[in-house]
Amino acid sequence: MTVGFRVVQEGIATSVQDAGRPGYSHLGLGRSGIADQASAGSINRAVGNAATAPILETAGGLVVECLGRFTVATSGWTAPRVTAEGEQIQVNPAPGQQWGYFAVAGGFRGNLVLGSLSADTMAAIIAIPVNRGAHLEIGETGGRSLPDLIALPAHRHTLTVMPGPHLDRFASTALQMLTSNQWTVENNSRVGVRLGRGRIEPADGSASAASEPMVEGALQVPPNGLPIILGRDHPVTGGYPVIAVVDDESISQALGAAIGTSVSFRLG
Amino acid sequence: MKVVAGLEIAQMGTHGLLLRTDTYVPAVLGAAIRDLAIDGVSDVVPAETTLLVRCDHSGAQRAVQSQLEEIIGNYEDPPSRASREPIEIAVMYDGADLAFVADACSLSEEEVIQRHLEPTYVAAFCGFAPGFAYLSGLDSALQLPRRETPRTKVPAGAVAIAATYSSVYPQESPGGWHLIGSTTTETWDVAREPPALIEPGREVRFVRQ
Repeated sequence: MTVGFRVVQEGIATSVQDAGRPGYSHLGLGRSGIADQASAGSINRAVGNAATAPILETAGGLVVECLGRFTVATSGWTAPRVTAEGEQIQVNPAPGQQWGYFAVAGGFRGNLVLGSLSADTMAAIIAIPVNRGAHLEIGETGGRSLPDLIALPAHRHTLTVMPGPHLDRFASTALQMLTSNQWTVENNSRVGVRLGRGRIEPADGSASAASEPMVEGALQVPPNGLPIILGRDHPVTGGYPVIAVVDDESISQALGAAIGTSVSFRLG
Repeated sequence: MKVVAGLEIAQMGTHGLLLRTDTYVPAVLGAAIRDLAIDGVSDVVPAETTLLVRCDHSGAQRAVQSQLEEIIGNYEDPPSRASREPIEIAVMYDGADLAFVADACSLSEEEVIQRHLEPTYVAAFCGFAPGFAYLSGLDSALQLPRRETPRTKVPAGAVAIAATYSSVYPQESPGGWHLIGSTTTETWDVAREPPALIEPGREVRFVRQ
């Protein structure tokens, strides 16, 4: 066991995340996991890790002190590097991004909770606390692949969607409104991305519909007409009609879009 | 959208298949599908009237959909979980809302307790919080809307009712249901597999402590 880092500043909404916790949604526990898997995956791979190895995720302001020489990479760097003992590293999202990532060769280590190290805000599960002063352990490096440049995923902010299961409850013009408008990200948390500067006429009876199972990427339209893209920590069931669902190719871009940036949608 | 008798299957994104059914109880159908351990399926999630089958990668969706159509097409009797005994939960009827519920239902407190003890409940689905099971089968005389003002703190183990359901709060949380009792039975424990005591489709009986 190696203690790799000390948390100097915990930053905003900082947590350890990995591939998440599939298989428990029917018990009311969601999947959780890395929000922007495209960005985190490129940073993890650059230090020789698997794409979903346990990584630090933050909305900004995280500062860690390195307690040894480790190969690390973070958002905004072009290549990984080896730390000096005592060096402090700041982790912030890259411009336009909501989430910044910090990876270390070997990944972060701790006791798994139901098969995962992902913190889950809805379930109050924190496998590895990332509070100020906390010490973070790192895993064994496999030594399988050499550190490489950080390949930045293209974030185009045009998200591909599939028609949602409740599309027939909306007015016939609703999908057209979704795909023709330029939306603004009003808020972005691990639970969901709230959009504004535009409005979709809510479906009939949208305030009283029965709860249905949800997936990340579902575009729910609550009675106020402002769509929400469900994030990795979404409630397992939800009561608002789903007009469309962001597809696999675009989900990282959707969940990774910074507050204030604009996004648009096209049908896939 | 594909139609099998009594069932519609709609895609929900690249991973999800949403089954809408009037014929089958989503929790019971879901438990049967989960027991089949279909290759490529990672989650089977029931709600009130629908069931989500979530694939672990987008490539699996089409194959899983045709398998589901075949399975459900050949599905005659609803699979029974009756082979499993109901879970018994011992309750102290000491809830803060017991008097309010009795008054609102024009019953005595003892009548509320007896009517709550009578049915065998079925876990219809879980949601709201991990391990929080919506238990259907509540006596119609006890069906009340949620509290007008939700509590900011409901203790773990609170036994509660609202609308057509009863439930047990697994962890301390906010909550808007009427509290009629409490139990020391732990309904959620991440160190246990499965972590939830009450899985969808399971029968539950309350016994008086």
